Amino acid sequence: MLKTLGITLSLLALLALVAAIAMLCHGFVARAQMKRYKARRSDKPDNSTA
Amino acid sequence: MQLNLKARDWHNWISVILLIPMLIVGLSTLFLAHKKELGLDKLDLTPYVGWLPGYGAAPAPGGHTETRTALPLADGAHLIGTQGGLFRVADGRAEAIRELGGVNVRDIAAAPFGIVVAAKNGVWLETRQGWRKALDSDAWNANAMPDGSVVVAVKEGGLLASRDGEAWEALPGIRPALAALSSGELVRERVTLGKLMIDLHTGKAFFGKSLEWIWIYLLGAVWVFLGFTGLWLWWKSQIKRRDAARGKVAAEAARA
Repeated sequence: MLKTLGITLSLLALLALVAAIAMLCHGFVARAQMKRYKARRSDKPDNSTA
Repeated sequence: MQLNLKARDWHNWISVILLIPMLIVGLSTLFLAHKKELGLDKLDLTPYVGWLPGYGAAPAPGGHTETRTALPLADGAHLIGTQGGLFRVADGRAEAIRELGGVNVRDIAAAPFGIVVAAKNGVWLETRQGWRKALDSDAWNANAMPDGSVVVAVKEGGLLASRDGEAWEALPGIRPALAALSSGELVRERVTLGKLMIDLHTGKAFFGKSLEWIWIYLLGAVWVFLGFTGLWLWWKSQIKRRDAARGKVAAEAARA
């Protein structure tokens, strides 16, 4: 019974770790996208002074 | 590239870089607090962890052969107990005993009914059919007695004696005699600075050995909590900043 609990908890911990890695990767992807959007804006010619 | 890191940036980036090791340590700490109750030592994962760099695919020759005990045999050979198994050494050649491969062997005793080995995973007995586990308990040592019996000291059961390797009984009177010792007869445990550091680290200094799991559990849980909440905050901020940047690009496109 306790052995089964140990295995279940270990698998849950592993799942939590995988979720953390996925979140980390997703965060970095979002960061890269943000930089791309910012770069797109700064590439545009500034018409306000024209 | 301009590098202007403030304290908050240092905090954020060191946390992000070390997040996974932090979570591994925190989660494994929670399991260590209940290692015995959950029977984690009984789950053999040897075939599945070879990919981890610290374990390697194959054991290094001589890597786990630190000698713990030895027994000379009648044929001139020696049984050698090591941290990583039991070996029969004869004519300069060592042969591993398969059944005790990788097991921490602590003591060997020769009895009339066979050879008894005290090992971390139990008490083993050599019979004509080979080696078999006689007791499933962490054993510290084994001693052959003049009356032909063998006495083993096991972690949970104390001193157990057997005359045939089959039936094991507690030596009468030993535990009550030790339990009856008065505090004046017991010498206080010596606490060195090194031991104090270990006991402060494990929580034994505050809770005692039996309740140190509270300390371990608390610290492990805090580590996991801070790791996950930090990750959540960082992830949310990245998503928010990306969406804001995307919104500005979309607004500019709409204006154009």
